[in-house]
Amino acid sequence: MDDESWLERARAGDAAAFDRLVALHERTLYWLARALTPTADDALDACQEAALRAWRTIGRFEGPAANVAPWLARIVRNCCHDRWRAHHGAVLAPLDEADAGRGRRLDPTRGPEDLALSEETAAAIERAIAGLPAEQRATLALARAGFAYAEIAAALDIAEGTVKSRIARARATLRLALTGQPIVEPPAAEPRLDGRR
Amino acid sequence: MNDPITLDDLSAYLDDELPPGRRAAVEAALARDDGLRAALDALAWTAGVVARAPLPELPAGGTLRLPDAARGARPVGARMRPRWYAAAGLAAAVAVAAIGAGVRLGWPGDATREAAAPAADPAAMDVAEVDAELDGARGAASTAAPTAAGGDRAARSAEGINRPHDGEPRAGWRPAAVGAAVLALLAALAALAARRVRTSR
Repeated sequence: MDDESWLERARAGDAAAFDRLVALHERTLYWLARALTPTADDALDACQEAALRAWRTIGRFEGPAANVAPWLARIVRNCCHDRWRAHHGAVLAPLDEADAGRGRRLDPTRGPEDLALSEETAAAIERAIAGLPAEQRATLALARAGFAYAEIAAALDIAEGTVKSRIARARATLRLALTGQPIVEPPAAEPRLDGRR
Repeated sequence: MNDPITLDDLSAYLDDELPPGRRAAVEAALARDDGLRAALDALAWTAGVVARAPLPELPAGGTLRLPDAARGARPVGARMRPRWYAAAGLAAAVAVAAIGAGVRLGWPGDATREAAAPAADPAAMDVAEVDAELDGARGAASTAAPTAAGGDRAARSAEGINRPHDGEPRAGWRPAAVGAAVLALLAALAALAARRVRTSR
């Protein structure tokens, strides 16, 4: 049975088909929730709430099975935002911005494939990512999961140009955090450091 | 096309997310600008490092699990499967088309009667049939006194039977229309019943 058939059955109220459908995207959705919540427990709770919301509304879902992943991602994102607002009364913030530039420095003259991915290196990367603004973390998480820019835009309810900008900003910030060296652009290609697009 | 190449463009170029025209512009700029190439290399290095970093492990037991209590509830807007809509719609469309065609073109029974009637105007044919019936009802006793046609028509009008082809379909259409409507209704009911069986599982 293909994804369209599972989707059709889930729409009609088949809980087993719904389980099958969300299982295909579970990993990506958890990564997104982890990017948007401070702890693994928060991410799990957000995913649980998202599953319930998705089940309640899948009967009204329009579109092909290919659109299910962005749709689910949008629900997960909204659940994370709602949880954060409920507990902190504010929009999502960097997990620990103060630590962003503090980790172990990596040698930029060595290619990524040559870097020994020790626990320390992995922790440094993780810490640098945690220091990004929440929306950049979410965008990067979906990009790492293989979402195209258009899918990320649909999932996060933003323009494709914003996706493009967030990913570029995130990479520039990570480069600085991991190596201590900023990305130098020619004057004609000055980055927009105000974070807007 | 003359817009300067930005960091955003370089990053999207790495991800193969630029439209063809912009991609060509980036490649042309990279060919003549060492600084741009260095920026692209730095972005590529960062993307590579991030891609190699491990992603969070899924907790045992999964993450997006529906609570058992929610499984019994139907999703909001859970709907009939499209193929049952199609079946019911097709049945109804066929029935309507059959009735429409019958009303407009006449039913098979009408065609048979018309073929058997004298070659005359259909209106005149019906008048003749009614005349014959009236004559028969008057009996053989009055056969010696031929009736004037005008008088008979006035009598028919008074009895309310002077209605040949006044826009109403001929006799024989009603059973066929009722049959088609019943069939369409049965098809729709069958579709709904099948849907209930499937969605209650």
